[in-house]
Amino acid sequence: MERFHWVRHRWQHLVGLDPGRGWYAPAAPLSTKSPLDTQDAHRLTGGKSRTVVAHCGPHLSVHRSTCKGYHGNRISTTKYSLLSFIPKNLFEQFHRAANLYFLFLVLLNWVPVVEAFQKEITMIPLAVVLTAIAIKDALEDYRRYRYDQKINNNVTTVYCGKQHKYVDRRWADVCVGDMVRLCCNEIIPADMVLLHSSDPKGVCFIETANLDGETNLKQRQVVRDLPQEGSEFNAETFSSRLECENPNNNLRRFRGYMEHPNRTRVGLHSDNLLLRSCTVRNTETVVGIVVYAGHETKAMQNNSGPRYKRSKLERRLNVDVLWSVVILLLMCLITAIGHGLWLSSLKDPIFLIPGDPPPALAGFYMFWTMIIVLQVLIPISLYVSIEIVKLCQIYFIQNDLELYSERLDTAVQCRALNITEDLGQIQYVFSDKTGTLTENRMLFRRCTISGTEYPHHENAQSQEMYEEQAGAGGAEGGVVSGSHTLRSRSSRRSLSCRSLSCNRSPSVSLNTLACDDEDEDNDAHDDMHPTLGRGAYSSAMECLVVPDPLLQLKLGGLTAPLAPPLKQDAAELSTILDFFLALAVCNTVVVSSPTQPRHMVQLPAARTPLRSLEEMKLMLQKLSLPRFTLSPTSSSPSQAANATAAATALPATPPPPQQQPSFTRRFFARGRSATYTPNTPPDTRRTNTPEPGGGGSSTPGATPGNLTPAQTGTPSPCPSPSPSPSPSPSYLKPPTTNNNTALGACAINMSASLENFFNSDSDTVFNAIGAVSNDNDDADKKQRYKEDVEDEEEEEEEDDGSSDEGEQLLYEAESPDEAALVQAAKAYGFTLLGRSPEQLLVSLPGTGPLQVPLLHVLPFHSARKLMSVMVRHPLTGHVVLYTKGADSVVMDLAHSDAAGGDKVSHQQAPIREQTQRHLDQYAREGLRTLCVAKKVLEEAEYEAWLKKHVLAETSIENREELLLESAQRIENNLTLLGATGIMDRLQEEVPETIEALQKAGIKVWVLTGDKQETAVNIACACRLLRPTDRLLTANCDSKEACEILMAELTDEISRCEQQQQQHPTKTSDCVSGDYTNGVTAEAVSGFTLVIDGRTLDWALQAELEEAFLALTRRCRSVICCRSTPLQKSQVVRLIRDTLAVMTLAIGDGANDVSMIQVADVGIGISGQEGMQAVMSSDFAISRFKHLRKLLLVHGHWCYTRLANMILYFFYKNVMYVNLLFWYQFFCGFSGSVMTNSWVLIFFNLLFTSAPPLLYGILDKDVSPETLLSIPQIYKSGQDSQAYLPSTFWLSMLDAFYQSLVCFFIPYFAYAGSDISVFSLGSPINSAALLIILLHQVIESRTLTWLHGLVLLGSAVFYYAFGLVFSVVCVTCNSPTNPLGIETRFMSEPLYYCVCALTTVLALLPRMLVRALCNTIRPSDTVRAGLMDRLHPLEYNAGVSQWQDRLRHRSASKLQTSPTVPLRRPPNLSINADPPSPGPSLSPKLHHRHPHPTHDYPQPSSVLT
Amino acid sequence: MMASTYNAKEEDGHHSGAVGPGGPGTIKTKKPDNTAFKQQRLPAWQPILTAGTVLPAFFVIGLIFIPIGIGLFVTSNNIKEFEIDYTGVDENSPCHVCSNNYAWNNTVPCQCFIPFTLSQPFENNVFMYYGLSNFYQNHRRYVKSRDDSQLNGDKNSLVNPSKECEPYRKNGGLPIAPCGAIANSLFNDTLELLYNFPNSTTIEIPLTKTGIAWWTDKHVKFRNPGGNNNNLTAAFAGTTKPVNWRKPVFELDPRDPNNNGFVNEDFIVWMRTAALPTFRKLYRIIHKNKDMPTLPAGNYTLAVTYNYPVLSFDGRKRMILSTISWMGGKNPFLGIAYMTVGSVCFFLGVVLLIIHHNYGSRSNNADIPN
Repeated sequence: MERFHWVRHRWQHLVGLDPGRGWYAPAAPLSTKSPLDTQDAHRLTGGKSRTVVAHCGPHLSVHRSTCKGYHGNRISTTKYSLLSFIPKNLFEQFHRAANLYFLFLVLLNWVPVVEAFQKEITMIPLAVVLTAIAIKDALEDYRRYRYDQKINNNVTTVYCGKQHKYVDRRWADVCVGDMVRLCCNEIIPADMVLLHSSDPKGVCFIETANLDGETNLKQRQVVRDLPQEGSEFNAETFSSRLECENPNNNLRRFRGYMEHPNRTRVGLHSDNLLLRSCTVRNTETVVGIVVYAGHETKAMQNNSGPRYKRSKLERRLNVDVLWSVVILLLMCLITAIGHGLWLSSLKDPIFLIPGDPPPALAGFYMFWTMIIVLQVLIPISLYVSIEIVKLCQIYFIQNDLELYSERLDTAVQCRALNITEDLGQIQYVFSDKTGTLTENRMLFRRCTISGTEYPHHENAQSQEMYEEQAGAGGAEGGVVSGSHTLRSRSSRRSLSCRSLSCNRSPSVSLNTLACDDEDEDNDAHDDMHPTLGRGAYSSAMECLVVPDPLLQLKLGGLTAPLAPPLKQDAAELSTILDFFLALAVCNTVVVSSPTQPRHMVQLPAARTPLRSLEEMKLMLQKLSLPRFTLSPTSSSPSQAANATAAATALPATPPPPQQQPSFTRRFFARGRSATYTPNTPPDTRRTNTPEPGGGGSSTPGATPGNLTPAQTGTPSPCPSPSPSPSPSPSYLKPPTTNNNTALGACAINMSASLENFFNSDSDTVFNAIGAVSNDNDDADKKQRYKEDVEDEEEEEEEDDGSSDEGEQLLYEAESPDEAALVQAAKAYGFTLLGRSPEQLLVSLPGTGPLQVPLLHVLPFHSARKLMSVMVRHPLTGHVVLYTKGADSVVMDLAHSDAAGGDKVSHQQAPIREQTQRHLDQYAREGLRTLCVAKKVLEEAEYEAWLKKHVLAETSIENREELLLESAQRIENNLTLLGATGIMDRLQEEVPETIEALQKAGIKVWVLTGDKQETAVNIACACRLLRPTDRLLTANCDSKEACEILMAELTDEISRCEQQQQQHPTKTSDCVSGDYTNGVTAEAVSGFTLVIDGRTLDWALQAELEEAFLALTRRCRSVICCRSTPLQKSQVVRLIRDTLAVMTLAIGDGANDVSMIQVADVGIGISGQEGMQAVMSSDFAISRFKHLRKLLLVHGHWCYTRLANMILYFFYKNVMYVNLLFWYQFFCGFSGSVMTNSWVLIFFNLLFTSAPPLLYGILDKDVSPETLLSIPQIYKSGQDSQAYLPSTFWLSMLDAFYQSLVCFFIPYFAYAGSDISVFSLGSPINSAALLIILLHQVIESRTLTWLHGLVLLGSAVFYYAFGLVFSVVCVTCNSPTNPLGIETRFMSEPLYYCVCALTTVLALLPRMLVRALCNTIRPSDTVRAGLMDRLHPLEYNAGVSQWQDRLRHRSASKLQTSPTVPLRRPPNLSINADPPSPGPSLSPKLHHRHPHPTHDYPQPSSVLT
Repeated sequence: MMASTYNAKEEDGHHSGAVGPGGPGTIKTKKPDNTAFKQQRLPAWQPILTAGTVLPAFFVIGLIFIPIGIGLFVTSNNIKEFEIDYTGVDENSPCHVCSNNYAWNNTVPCQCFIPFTLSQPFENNVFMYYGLSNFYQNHRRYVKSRDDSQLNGDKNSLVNPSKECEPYRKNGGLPIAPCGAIANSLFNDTLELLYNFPNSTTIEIPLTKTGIAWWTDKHVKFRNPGGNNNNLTAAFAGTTKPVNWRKPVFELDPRDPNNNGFVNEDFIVWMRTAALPTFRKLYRIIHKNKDMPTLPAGNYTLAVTYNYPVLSFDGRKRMILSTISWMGGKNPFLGIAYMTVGSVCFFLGVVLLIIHHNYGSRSNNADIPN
């Protein structure tokens, strides 16, 4: 079913032409608004809303009245019915200008005085076109109808009020208010509000792949306040009333409320809504009430057809159509005047029909007659032909194997049907970074926790090892694809072998890096579930993180019995704990298991390993006693004691140092003993299970004396053989400064020890236990404990269904960063095991699954740039807010913390500083940074916030705004925990692709929201930035500064260029880029501008636009960092409109949508971030590397083919029509034609229409290999070389010449003879046909058997038609019949003599000119085409020669200028950001590329 | 799995069957078929015109065209043609009087005799044409002014001719029998050829008036109404003659029923409208005698019954005598054109050869100039 839907989507994309808009109608404007554009979310539907009551049950009568007006669930996407088809279709077709022109001609022909042909004949073109389109429309409509039927006839179960049970019903019969019950894996028939789920938590999961292609599970919730019990939902008793907004197309918004009979209202939001065509997953049964049905569902409302854009070529074409009109009018005018003059010079001729109007009027009539006669000049069939050709081009693009991604099982999707040729004319590419250039598959690389950096070298090393190979492979591949195709062809095998071998080495196989296709796909198949691999983000083992030894030491060293106890800052330890806990919980990751990838790992109910949990908790409670007791929920027996402790240990009042240890010691001891009480049987433990987070779990009856002071004093509860007092102060200090950190520290200790316990061999473990608990060395106790442990492990094993827990969980995250972070946390033992809306299941190091009550999730919002979760801390029970988000925001929010208290801020300040430094470093390394912070909430504070938040949640109006506000209210005064650096791998072949694009003369801009350093680094890695490039940075604060800067930078560039020109031999510090290839100076410059969002804002202002453009035009590439979606689209618009160039925008996420829509060609990458970009794009590809073939090969082909075909069409029409025109000079300008009017009409419509079509579809001027290996050929398309005004006029000229030859050779051959009107037409037509067909042969660069077939077929068709017509038609074509003409003439040798001479003479000049041009000054395409024909060896030599020439040129240039690469001009960057990355950046880059070489930076060297 | 497919792709389509080992067993994917057509790898001939490739063609064309041209030229030159203008514009012309006293409805025919001399004898069959100049038989309205159905013997069209014939559709309420302007303007001069023996006796040269129309016209396209019965008068009852005609259509050749009515060959020939304003139409055939040339050299007289007015529109009337060859009438143009084009091609071939010698080797070696 899923496939079925997908197929449908694709089908719709492919053939879903909207006949009302499409075809060759220029009428319909492009709808630029994406239905999914979230920016549009605030289009309120006003106060209008709909009321829904249950169809069954008590409100049946109400239902009838309220739900009458609502759509049923029957969908009908057809446009016509059987009856309405002909009138409606005709009506629609006559909305098109071209058809109106036809109609005009037909009507004109009905005017007797201007009548040129028989009336039927003028109708033929119109009839043919109308019929063709009508048939197409009918077929489409029929397919739609059949699809609708199929959908409508799907069966679902609906509660029937009469039979009091669920009955099967067709989808079409479902109506609003119906109760629908769905089982797992069923498709949702209509938008429904979830009323019941078999899940005890009242959730259900849906997969929205059919809707937006995202395959991760989304959680939906039963409406709050509804009975959640697992019992069967009683549909009859449901008597609530639903109010919700009117149907709209916003998939992510749903507002409304449910009013219960008792007048209480519950807010409804999108979490309650099950969307049509999604699939229920992982939930046994759900029941929902239909609120929107049929066409009112969100899925249907989002069903927008394909997009229509006007391509550049078509715009050009329209100009030339206008020129054709001008020529036509001119010709008609000449004829009209000629007729008038001719007529006035005659006196009483017997061949004139009496009663003719006076010459002037006759001339006027003649004008119109000639319009009919010469109508063919306007290439109406061209529009139809272009449509057909484009459809076929799309067909070929979509069938390209190299654009097919095995992993996603998608080929390229062409959503826009009529801009294929624009792909061949792109001059600017605007690329998003994340997910477009990079994989958007995140790897956790580094982190910094409370100011200490953990570089994770092992992690890096394992990746480096891989990258070394990959890099080597990649470099080789780069060279290969760049120049030596021979090597490329031969080395593929070896390369793949190598990558296979590296796959086998375990450390490497974990980290796939883009090196090769084989690699990629192998991995893809290894990693992912073969059938469900599409789209889902499952962070598989490739994301495995090798823990940093230092960090592990810190976590584990404390507990390791043999390691000397490190002097640890307890605060730091607690931060580490919090940090990882935050990583594990602060996300929306859904956990599933690989065996059932689409099924959630159910939370093991009551599986909590009581012992460890309790133990940990108790320990932490004791440690954090003062704070903990504040919690009003703690109702433990020890509350009183805790309270007293709390009173003494409030942060504001430093607790008496003497008192604190004793408290701690006592509770700690109690906790320990309680936990480890060996005699307690498991059952008892279970009954004692406290509520997680509940405070009163400390079991009484512990013996304080069991513990030695060492355990309390040492941060590590384990094994210091001799109690040493020295650690004590370090432990005791924290409570005075920060209770939380103290608590954390201890927790760390504890957890570390436990982890150690589980991980190390049993002897040590028991030593540890012995040391820790200081229990009796009772063997059987040990044994029992061991058993317990083993039980525990077994239980865990059972949970997960296989031996290795770590490898089993699949994390499905909406953003890959989250998954990477969760993986990272897992590597340190903080494993996220499961998730439900109410709680999270987390295992901390050493503990089993631990339930963390999830209080709130404040989801990511682009305005906040944060996401937070509010949990009750599993160990302390505090309400803790964990936040992660963009560093700038978090840093600011943490900054404001200073108000909280001097000491705290004192402590925080250096951490912040350190962290900031690390963040900068990360950014320079191209890592994505995220900051993690937390905030411990007072219960009262929480309560207060909660009240408002609930209000916001339940509000019906402005819910989003209120929620945003609410989130902002709580997300402040954060305590910075640390930051992470996540590596986003470059996609495979990105550098090669970018290099190829640049060689092709395309300027590549990167527009990213990332930090400047990250962006620059990625740009380096993907060879956007070459070692020889000069980096210009523009960061400024004010408009004035920006203006000055721009001017300075521009001056700088020109100065450098001048210098280079004037003193080519002298030393110059400016390095120009290579690959000049005779293009303009602008493209030559090796300058790269890096501009940040703020400066961009200034630059985009009207006054500075020009300066900005002047600057950017001289730069080879521009990197815009920190740019917003709006800015992205502004930049694209500015470039597109001001420079009048063809732009292409490529992106994968929602933030790229606006850019994609603005650009001439929008390309979406169907990647990790959903399908929004794809939905708004013209073409959707799956990898960035596909852009290369899409542009360089398909774009080039499409453009050349179409351009050539259009030129050919013009030529053909002009050539043929001129024959008629020349004849006017010999028939008194009377509008007479020497051809049978049938042949005349059919000549264009039938005899010569197929060959140009085939020409437009299949012609291949250069082989794909050559196009890829010599990207410079692409420039011919950019400069529109195939279709310049000059080429147009030249082919017009040729057409004139040919028609002259074609008319006058037969004329002179037959002049003075007894030749009759149609007899003269016979050789002329025949010669014209031969000329036109052979002309195409000359123009064609590829002739396959198909071409031969069609060309021959056309000729045969013409002759057959002529012969049959001249034999059969006696009186069929009144008043003039061609009877016997063809047969007679074709039996005469003179006929053939005339045809041969005419054809040869007509084609001679073109042939000659072509041959001379191709020989003396061949164009790039011709040269490439010539190369294609060479022997493979010579071919390779040719390719390398070609590249060498370019290389040599640049090399000679470089030799003359010893470079100071990437030297940042110190005076040029006015850096507003205090932590200036500049100085550190330059030396680094400098160091990396000390010599001007052609070796590009290896990706590895940049990213590691 | 992918590796093999990828390599297959690289190997230029020789593995077109290899869709991957998982192909048959797995569920169908959206993977495009690896066929030569879909991957646009159809074997193709790539004609790139360069001096080297075009050069042979030019030589071949030259070598073929020049002989053909010579042949045509010689053939054309062997055709004997004699043309005489009898319009009578010139005052000295014997027909001057007739041309000025023109009226369509002259009851007394005006005759004029034009002497001429053939310096060479005409062998074989000689074709006698009348030629008209500046006569736009191809005028759009004129060409259409006919009713082929009527001419094909259709009874309905006979009494109710097509609207295209207007204004020569009906006359005085009666349908015009061959309706329309073409028929109305039928050439009605009578030409006779007299041979003046040196002994000043004169014989009339026998002119065959049949066999001048196309077979298809005579037997298929044109038919008298009522089939082949001889009673044409009855068949054409209820119709009237065209305005300009002196006699009705069924009296065009009263002596030969097979050449009368619509199937009269003079009429048929006229009805095949000429393509150009200067044209000739076959008038008679002079079949060759057994012993002597068809038209021996000597003095002749053309006897014209001058009926057809052309002076009003500056027209000219001619009589043409011509033998024909396989290529039709005399026309040196084609031969000359062939020879010219052939020579030009040959010359260009030489030029291309030079160019090819200078440039071609480079492009063949892909040694890129520039």
